[in-house]
Amino acid sequence: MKQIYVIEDLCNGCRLCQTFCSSLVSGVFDYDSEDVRINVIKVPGEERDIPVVNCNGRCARPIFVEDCPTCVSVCPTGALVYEEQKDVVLKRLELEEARRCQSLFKVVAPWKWPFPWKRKSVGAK
Amino acid sequence: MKARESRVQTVMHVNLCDGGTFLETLPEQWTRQYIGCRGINGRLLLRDVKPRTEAFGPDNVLLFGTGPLDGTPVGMGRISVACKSPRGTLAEGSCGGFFGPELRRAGIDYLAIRGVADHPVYLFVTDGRVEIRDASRLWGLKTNETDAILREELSDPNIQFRYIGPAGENLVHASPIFGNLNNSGGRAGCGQVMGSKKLKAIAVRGSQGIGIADYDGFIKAYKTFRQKVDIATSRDPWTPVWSTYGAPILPRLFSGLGNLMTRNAREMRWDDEKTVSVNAEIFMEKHVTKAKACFCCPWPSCQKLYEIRSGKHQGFKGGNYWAGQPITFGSLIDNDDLELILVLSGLCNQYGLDIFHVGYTLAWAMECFENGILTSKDTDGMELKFGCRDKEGLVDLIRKIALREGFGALLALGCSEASKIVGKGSERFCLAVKGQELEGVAQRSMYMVALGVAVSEVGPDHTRWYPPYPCNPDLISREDLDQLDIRLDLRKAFQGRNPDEKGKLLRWFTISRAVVESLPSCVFLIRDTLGLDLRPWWNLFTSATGLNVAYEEFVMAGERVMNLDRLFNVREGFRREDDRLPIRMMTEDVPYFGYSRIGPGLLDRMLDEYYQENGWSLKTSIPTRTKLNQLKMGEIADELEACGVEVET
Amino acid sequence: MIHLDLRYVGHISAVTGILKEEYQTNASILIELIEELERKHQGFKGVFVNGETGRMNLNAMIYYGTEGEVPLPIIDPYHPIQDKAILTFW
Repeated sequence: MKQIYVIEDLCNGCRLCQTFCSSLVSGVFDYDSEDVRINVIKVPGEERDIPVVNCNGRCARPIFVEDCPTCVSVCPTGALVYEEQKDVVLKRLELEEARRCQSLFKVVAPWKWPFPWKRKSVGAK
Repeated sequence: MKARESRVQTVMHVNLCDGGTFLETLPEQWTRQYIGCRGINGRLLLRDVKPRTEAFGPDNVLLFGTGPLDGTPVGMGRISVACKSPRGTLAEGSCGGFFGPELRRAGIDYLAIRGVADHPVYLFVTDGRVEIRDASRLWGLKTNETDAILREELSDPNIQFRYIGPAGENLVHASPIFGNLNNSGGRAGCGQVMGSKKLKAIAVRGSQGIGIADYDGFIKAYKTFRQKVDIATSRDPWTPVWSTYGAPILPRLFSGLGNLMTRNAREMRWDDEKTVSVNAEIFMEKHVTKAKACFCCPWPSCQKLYEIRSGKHQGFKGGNYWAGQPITFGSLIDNDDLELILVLSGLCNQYGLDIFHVGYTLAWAMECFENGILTSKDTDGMELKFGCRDKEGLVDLIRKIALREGFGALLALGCSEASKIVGKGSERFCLAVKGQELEGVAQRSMYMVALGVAVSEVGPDHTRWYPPYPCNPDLISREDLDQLDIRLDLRKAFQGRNPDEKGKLLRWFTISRAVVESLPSCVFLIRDTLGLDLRPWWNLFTSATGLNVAYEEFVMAGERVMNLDRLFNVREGFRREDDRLPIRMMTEDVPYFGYSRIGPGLLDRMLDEYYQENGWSLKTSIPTRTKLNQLKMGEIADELEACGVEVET
Repeated sequence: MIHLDLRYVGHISAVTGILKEEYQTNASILIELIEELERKHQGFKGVFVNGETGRMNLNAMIYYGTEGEVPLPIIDPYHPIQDKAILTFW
């Protein structure tokens, strides 16, 4: 079963996830509402933004992509992923591999990046 | 859950002299006519600040404005800060972060602060209520220190702040207002005015959600908007690079085009090696630690946090390295040490200083020093030359400027006032208009930029017509342009040094950006066709507010806002003669590419077209009565005449 | 053989892995140069040329200039490439 997982260090703190989630049933944008199932905790000094998911992955209303929770599809950086548990580690490894090659992936996930990029690999392919 | 709607907007008036507050409900007509944010701020200033009011006196009103889309995913948390500038002009700037949504959640759309407190205070704003609290222990603290202390004291992590640093407290020229550490706005004088009122900070926490009149309609409009700004689908070449690497990508492009202000704009190209060393790619590689964004931004990392990992300033942390800093602390003063740039800009944020003021005034001082107009006797012993050998002296100078100490006291005045005091021909090294330093956009190579810099009512402010280029002409058909009633020869308008069509182009940019800033939303997101075709914005506005406003009426709001800016200045005595360029741009050629000076004849030709298209007097630049009537602002024409201003028919 | 000064900015530098290079080529028009650069930097062509239509992407940004001349954005695949030209790829 797919669940929503968080790749913390990709979160830029925008709260798109939280703001949209709050509105899916009520039609009201209220990031602080009791109905919200994801909350971005902000650490003082703006240095960490940590999404905390309190949701079983069955989105009340997937607005942007069919069968994908709204928060995951609206996230600009790729900090939220909707995967089977066995595949989440692969996503994390994909990010770390990409970061070893290009500093660009400090700020965006490779799965959100539609352009090619140069891999730096030791050993020939 | 409590929800508030957006058709009708409220102003919380606060008087710091007697602590009085009252909540005013604005007529719905104002939302239709001026939309909100920058637009309504402009209208409020005309109504509530009399001409020739003292900028640092109790009758100047400092406004913090949100708008109908703030708190929705399109508002981007933008606010407008506005007041009368100490330079006499309008002072208005846009600022991001998270403050705007929280203020609206408190049921307040505008804060209008008048009076002067008798000791340092901060405002604590909650639902429909403002408390004035003592801030004596905060006075003198840097912005990051203020943020940390208030956050700890007030403990709720969702409280949002705006504050000034020591520079604003000391009324240093061009000090902006800061928030969320590295967001700032109002460099036309808003931070100074806030300091003059002894207002250190504003804290806000609301409890209401933002209701949407037609949620499904809003979502549909939002999807159209996202398609134009998302990396995967935007047809704008800037989208992928601006949204990740960010604004400091520009020096390499600018230098190649002869658009990079170098050594106080004596030259417009910098050494390739130096340009690369301060550009976004190296910055990303070496110093970026984290992506940051404003409220609901659809881009991964317009903003960033950075840390210096080695060397003398190891451990120094800062944020938001834009296009300004590699210019003002890089090419402008011929410094290619990226770490030094990051420290200088980070310190400007902490002390609450404007980087353009500091950079251009430093560059002015360096050119004065090279010409013997200033000596080391004036500069506290510093060898103030382009190339910046004395790095630690420069670092210390930031503090001195904010505190008006030593040589910093002269620099704190800005290069316009400083050159009046120093004299000896130093005026020709001062790159300022209406007393305000330039930014980073080149004028002698792009005539629309030259016109925009000359006419901007707050002083040079490229964000009022940003992005300064039309989208690819192939993206929008002639039929679309006609249907949108944009009577522009796009290809001619796009030719950088063709003076024709520039007045018309600037008019269109100013109107469309005024609309976006009044919603509010972020002008960085004017991508793809969103700068020419405002219908996506209109759909977002009508579905959120439930107001049935025709498209033509919606666009006309932008034109009203443009006129409000001009009217404020006109009431203070500014006229056509004040729409000029710095002496250097008007008298010196760029040494290559054939970018010659912009002589008075050329500027006048473009001003004529601009004023003509706007329906403003060619002689004075004052909006005519015909134009104001057409915009249904006729009563403002009456008020102008009552103030003794000549309004032509 | 002609000599070119090629510059890669922002995300294009992530495709090539380098910020710039001095490049020798026999290409005489833009599309030929792009084909060659594709062989050297995989994925390069796809950023600028639509794979299905063969036309240049609307959001491709390539500046072309020769010494002393203002660089201009080009979108014509048949744009001639001269010796000592400077091309900046965005």
